[in-house]
Amino acid sequence: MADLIGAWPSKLVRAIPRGLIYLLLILGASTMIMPFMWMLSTSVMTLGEANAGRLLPRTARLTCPHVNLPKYTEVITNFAVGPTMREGAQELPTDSYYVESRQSEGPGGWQFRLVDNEGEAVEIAAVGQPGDNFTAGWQPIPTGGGTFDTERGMVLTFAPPGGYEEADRRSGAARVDYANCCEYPTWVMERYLAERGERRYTGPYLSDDLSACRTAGQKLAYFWNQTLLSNYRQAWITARFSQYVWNSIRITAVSIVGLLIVCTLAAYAFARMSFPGRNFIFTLLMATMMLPETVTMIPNFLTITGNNPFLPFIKWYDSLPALTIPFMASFFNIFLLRQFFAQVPNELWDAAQIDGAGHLRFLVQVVLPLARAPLTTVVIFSFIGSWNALLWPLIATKAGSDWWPIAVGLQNFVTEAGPQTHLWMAGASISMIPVLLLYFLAQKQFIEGIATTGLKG
Amino acid sequence: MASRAADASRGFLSGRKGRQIRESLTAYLFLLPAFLIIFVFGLWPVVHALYVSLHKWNIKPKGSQCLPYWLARAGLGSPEALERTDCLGLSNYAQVLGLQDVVAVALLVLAVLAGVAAYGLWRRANQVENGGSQRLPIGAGLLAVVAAGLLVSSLPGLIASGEWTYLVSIGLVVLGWLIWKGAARSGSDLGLVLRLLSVCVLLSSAAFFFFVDFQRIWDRGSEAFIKSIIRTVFYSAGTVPVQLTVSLLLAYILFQGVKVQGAFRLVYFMPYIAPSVATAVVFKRVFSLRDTGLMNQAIGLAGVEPLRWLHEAKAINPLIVDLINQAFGTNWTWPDIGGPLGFFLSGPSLALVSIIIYNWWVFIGYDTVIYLAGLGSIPHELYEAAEIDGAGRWAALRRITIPLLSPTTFFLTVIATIGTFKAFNHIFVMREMTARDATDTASILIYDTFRGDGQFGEAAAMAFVLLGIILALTQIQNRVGERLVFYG
Repeated sequence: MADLIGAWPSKLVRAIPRGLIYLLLILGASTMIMPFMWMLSTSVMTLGEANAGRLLPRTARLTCPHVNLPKYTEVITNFAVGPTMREGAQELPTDSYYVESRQSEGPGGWQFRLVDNEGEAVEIAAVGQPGDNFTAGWQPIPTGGGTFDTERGMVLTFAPPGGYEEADRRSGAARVDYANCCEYPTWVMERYLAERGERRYTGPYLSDDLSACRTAGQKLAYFWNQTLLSNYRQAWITARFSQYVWNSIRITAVSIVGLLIVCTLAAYAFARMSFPGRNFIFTLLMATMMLPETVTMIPNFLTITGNNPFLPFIKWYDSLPALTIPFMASFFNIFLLRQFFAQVPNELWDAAQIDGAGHLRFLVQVVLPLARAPLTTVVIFSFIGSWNALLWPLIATKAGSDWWPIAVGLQNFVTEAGPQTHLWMAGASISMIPVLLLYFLAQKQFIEGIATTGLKG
Repeated sequence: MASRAADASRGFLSGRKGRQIRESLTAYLFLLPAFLIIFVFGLWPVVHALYVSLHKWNIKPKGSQCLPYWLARAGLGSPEALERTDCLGLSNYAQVLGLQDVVAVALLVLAVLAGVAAYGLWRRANQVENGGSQRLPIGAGLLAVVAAGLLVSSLPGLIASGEWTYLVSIGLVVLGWLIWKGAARSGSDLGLVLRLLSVCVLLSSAAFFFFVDFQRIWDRGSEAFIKSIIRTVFYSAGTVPVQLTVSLLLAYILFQGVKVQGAFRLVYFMPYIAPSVATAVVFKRVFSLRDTGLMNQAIGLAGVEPLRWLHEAKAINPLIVDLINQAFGTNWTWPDIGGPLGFFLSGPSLALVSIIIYNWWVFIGYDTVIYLAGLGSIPHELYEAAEIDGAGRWAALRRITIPLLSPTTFFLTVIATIGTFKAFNHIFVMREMTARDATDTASILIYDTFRGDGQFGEAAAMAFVLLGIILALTQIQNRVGERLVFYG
């Protein structure tokens, strides 16, 4: 009994640092994971919610009451000022402005304002007050539709109720008629097809008023289509992420297959064959590991554009070979595989020789099946490296290329589309999900591969 | 018997020697694809870039290139090459580095390299003296003569251009180092003190001359490049020590038999594995200048006014003074002395600091995993022995863990430093136009010069200067590492 009483305090005292340690570790872990959570949560928000600095999307959208959401945003955010810039207007220094909208607190209609890249309101002409009256505040959206000259070099188009047509992407559009969510599945499909086929969408404006929804299934379908997936859909279709992902998959697959062939052969030669100049060639190739990409990028650009005096026939600019072949041989991978191949016992080679096998057959039938672990590491590294490559694809492709991989596409989307936080996060999630999935599935290979070799490709 | 006959029928590829040749040929065949690719895209570019850096080069040069130009001047090629040329010689380097007589300085650098090589050979000759190798001292002597010759030939140019200060600063450092080496062997205390004093005097005058050098480079050189190098140094110094310290601590804690170690490791490692372009996009928004940005909300909890983060071109030290003024109602200003010293002393911009914070987030997990591997390889008996000797936890950490982890620390330092000097992706994504050039590190500037301005030659020259800095850093780290790292 006395023992028990005596043991308690000391256990407690010992428990405190233990608890502190866990607290510290959990704090650190939350810091590490917070940006990911924030990204996922923001990727299903509307722009308004993201700009308001919310950590989670409005729960109201999930519990389905009668809600007023700034739905104009949905219609008008695609809006960027381009060729409609009026002559002589030089007040607008950058090229992207966005229309934010909300329903006013009092009775009455919707309001809008113009914001710049960072969400700061821009002064534009006051509605209904021609002349020098400029304001950065909220202004009523003309109820009958029509055009409105901001006198800042662009004209906004507000479509009249009932007559909505997909606006010219260069101007803007908004409309005020409602269709309740029960009709969504049809109309969402319609709009989806319209966006894909670049046809005009002529359906009703889709509101978030769910009060008329009858069945839970209808409500769920609405949330799935309209809330959770709408940003992803917009990024996937409108911002061409589908194409970027497809490109990245092709580029990654081709580089990995090529890399496995090229590097395995070279590693085998270095590990198990003797030939004159082996050490010299090995050292020569090793020297390339030190070189930063900034040194090699300029001549490599000249090479793929056919400006290499010795290889004038290479004209790979903006095509698959330019994006894959330079990555197919990396000394790091050769080195990694060589270390393993050199450990394969010599008895196996002797036995294979007696059975009449040559080097190639020995490599394919004996060594490779044994080398599953290092090969996995090589594949993982190359996958990450290839999926994440930015500098070289940026150089090796032209602007707006059909060959852009996901990293370049995302980077370009971020600079071109302006601060559409919700769409950025959807795009970032799209590019992150394949890598993180692979990481969770094969975390042991990932962590051990890196802990033993120390590098990401 | 049959196979030998078959071998014989293959002519010169038969027999033992023939098999050897066959094996070599197979090996070359195996190597060919890898060698071709690495040669074309990894080795050849060095030569090509060096050649490009001698030109005023856009995608296709308009005038003649250096090779025909030089040949023509030597009277070997067609004289048309002389009429219009894009060959600038070394003046891209002169422009980037702010050198007036670039040839003289190049000779000086070569002289120093030859001198160092001669010294190394001489030392090795002394070490193997008993072995009796006669070639080493001769080589050392030859190299020393070459070094002296180069030095002498660089002198007129250096004096004429006023760049003799480079020589003086290098000379002072070498002299200080020699006296320092002698001090280690000196017997008497007074001699030691005197030597140390003179080392101090020499080094401080060297520092003065270095400052003179730097001021001149600043005045004459490409300001953008010099600033970008300083920014890169800031970036490196801001990330590497912090991330190593934190991850060592984390790894140490995790190693103390923490229950779900695997789960923590999984989470800590995630930022490193995730594509850096995507995470940089996330942080671009986390460091938004809105009051509602995640970082601004976080510092708002501590009562700090919202900052402009990635959009803030202002340096961090004046900014801190501003914040102090705001908080306490004082009216201090950060003295702006201008020039390289002023730029250096006011610190990195807040935009760069934001990128540094992002870098911590990405690499702490990676460093932790490597440290964990290092901790796992320390034999447990050492701790048991220490415990028997009555060593506490702290003593064990100081005397066993940290020294035995020094190879890991060294590896991580080298990798991280080189990584920061090469860093491109996330800085390119996170930079904001409003911050202008506040986050342009060397690689970003090289990319801009290459793609934005189309100045291939100048960009190549910058890239080579950056490569030189990286190589020098690696060498220094290797030398320091040799001394500090304990390999059990």
